Amino acid sequence: MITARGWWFLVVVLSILTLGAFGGRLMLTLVALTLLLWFLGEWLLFFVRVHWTLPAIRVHRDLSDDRGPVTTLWAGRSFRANVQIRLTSGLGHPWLRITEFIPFGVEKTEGNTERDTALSPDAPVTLQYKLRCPTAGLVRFEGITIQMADFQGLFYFSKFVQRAAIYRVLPPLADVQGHRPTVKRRNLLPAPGLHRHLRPGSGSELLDLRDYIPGDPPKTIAWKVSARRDRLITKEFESEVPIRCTLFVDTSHSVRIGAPGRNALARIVEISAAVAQAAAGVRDLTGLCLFDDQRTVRYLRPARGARHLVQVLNLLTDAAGLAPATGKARYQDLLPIAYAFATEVYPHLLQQEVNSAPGWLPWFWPNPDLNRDRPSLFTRMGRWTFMAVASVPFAIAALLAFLFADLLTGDAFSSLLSAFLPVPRFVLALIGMGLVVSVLVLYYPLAGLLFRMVRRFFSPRARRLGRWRKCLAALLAERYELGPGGLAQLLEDNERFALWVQRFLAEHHVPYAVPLYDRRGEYLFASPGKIEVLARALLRAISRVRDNELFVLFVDLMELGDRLDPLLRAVKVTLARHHRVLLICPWPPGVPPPPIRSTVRPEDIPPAWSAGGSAVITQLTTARLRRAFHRLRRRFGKMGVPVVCAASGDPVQLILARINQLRSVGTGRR
Amino acid sequence: MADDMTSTEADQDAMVRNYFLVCMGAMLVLLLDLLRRGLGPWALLPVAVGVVGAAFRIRFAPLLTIIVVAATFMATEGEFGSSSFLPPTFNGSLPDWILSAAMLAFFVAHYRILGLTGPYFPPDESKGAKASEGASTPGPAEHLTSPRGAHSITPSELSWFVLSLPVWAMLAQLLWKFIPAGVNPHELPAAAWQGIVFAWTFGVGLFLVAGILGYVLWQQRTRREARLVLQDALWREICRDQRRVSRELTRARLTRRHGKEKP
Repeated sequence: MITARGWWFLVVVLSILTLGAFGGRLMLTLVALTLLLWFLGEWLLFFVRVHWTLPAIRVHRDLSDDRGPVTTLWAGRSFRANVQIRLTSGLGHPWLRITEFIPFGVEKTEGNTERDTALSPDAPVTLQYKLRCPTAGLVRFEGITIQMADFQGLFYFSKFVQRAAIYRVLPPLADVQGHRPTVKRRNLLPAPGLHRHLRPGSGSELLDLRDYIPGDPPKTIAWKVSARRDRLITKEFESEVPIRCTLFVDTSHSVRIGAPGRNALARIVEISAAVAQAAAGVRDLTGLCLFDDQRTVRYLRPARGARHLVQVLNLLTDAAGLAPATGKARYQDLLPIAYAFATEVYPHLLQQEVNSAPGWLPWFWPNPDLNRDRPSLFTRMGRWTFMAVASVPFAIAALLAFLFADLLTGDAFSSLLSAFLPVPRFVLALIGMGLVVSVLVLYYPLAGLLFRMVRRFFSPRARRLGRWRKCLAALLAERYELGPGGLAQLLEDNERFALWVQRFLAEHHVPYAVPLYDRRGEYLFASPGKIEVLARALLRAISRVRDNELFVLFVDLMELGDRLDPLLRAVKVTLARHHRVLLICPWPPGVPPPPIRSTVRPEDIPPAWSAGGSAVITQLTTARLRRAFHRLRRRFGKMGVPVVCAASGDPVQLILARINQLRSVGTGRR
Repeated sequence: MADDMTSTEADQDAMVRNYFLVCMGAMLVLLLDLLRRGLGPWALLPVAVGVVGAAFRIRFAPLLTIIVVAATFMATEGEFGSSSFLPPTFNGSLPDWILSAAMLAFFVAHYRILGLTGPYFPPDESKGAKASEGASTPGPAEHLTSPRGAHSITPSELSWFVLSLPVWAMLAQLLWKFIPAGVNPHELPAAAWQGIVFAWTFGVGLFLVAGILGYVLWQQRTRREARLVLQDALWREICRDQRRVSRELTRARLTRRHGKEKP
């Protein structure tokens, strides 16, 4: 609370007061005492203001657009935020600074999120600004920071007033007009089944004429045309059955990699939302299945209507905000980010009075090394051999001291030893051997402890991380109700700690980086479990549906080329039931998408070794991904399943064209 | 709008000018007082430091001024026969009262000038440490450089400030008067004894005030803070056992996973 200026003031005034009081100088004593009393008075006043004013602060935030207050936002649109800070009671404060915490992934376009002002119970303060969310997902408003200082700059206090609020940012409104598969002939939003369906059915609009087939109902015979052509002609009418399309959206960790809003999942959500909106525009039915590598997270049966569409968009929006997580992430990389964020938003939970890190902790609490890969037998034998060899000099020194003690000290050592331990000489030798073995046993941990302490002494960062880890582990244990046992476990288990920290960061939408490969070079985010999950979900879906439906799979299968069998079997069953399947493959951001039509095979392109390390890596990665995509397209193409890269072309148009094709199934001459 | 801004800036300038005049007045009082005490030409030294510091808005000018005053006073007390040693019984001193009020005026006015012309809020050191770790998060501005706004200036600010000066000086004299100096069981010099009694009184007073304020803060703890306190206390008690258990659990989990990964 006391600033550097305040401490200097206190030190100088107390020194002069000591000098005056103990030296008997009245003038200095009274001057210093006056200054000291004034300082204490100001401190007391500031303390009262801080601790009686801040608890009485109420924050109210509302977001609105041109029509009025909103509870959900739309990606790509601007909204007005209005934050009102009101003091219900207390003394007020003559001058303070209020700062709104802008959520991650939100752009402020106009206005101020910071204001210096006076605050009193009868005059609320308002912050107004405009914000824009570039991508779909969730935004979380945390609260406001209030900074207070006195007029003289001797005291300062900062507090974060929490007023957390989460808003959904729905995907951008699709251009339904541009994405409409058929040309509307009547109103903009026809009744179900009234739009042009090319599939013959029992509708009222004439679709085509064809030759009579025995079994056709007599009422469909076009008598005039039949008379003109001198054979029986049957009329075909448009179908009134709308098309049903189910979107299978992969939300596993493999598609979450990348900056929020710019990863593969964001692109999938964007495409899915556009398809859902376009389908809803022509009153088709759209279903949604969200799955990850462990289970089907949510399944919505195909339906239509505004309410269903909003439900689909909400689910897609929630999925878009998901962040990747892996236990292999290094907690040393995550800890500074999480701790910095916690000090910003939860400073009251990191105060020394409630969440202390003991001084001995960074020195004597070793970093757990259990999470490393188990050392091989050879490594362990090498360690034990090193330990034994390293302790040999000690053992030899002890033995020599024991053997030559008599020579060096005469008989004094033996007589002293027999006086204290009146036992035979071989017992003494056994005791000596026991001592040597004890040294051998304790040598390794003691040496390790000392080595760690010395290492910590020269590494202030390691000590700092140790303190931060304890404070953050306590905060996480309290937040997620892990209890004191949980706190201890977070201090010991690096993997769990990294996972909880990632969850904490993901909940607050703080971006962080995760490693893509482990130490053995294995890709961490292949998520092979999703193949089984998707296959089961697809089979379950076709068991409930009717005929000629479209299943669009938004799934990342690039790293799973050799584990596709369950999915291929499920797709075969789906095709055998006269459904259509379309595979949209997400593409990593920043990697050039594969060309739509290319005569050159990816494996035939040689890497440009002279272009430099980074360029070569990018080129090799691109080539590897293109090869994987090529293989994927070949395997699914054999079954007649188109595979489209989400990053190239217009997948939305392609999906809608497929839906349109489904409408025409059965047209013509059957 | 432009007129409003001009008027607020004018208010700010006027307030800075007023505080500067207060500084100069305080220095004049200091000069007269030191001259009256017989410091002669040495009286100009602290005054010069104060005037230069106020004119150039040097941040540590008040502290430097009082240090120079003390040094000058102590250096010249034998030479000029200054008579300001503690008397056996203290009944108040008008010159000291005026001098104390003047010094306080100089301190407060100078610090307020700094707040009106320079950064009002001090830089947050904890955020600086985080930035050095490379872990800064977007959010509130990390370095605040704007001065105190003109809207915070009220017409009564200067009046209250000037009125409070003699009060604090009088309080100091009263406090010193009530510090017992007569009874001295250890036969120490009177000044030393009085200093010891004052130090004890001051320390015990601070201890009591800190205890009361600590209790008030304790009462204001939220539910989450209270849970953290309890969790921390429990962890301290059982951290050794918990550590052992957690290590074994972690080891078992990793061993099990290692066995699963093995084909």
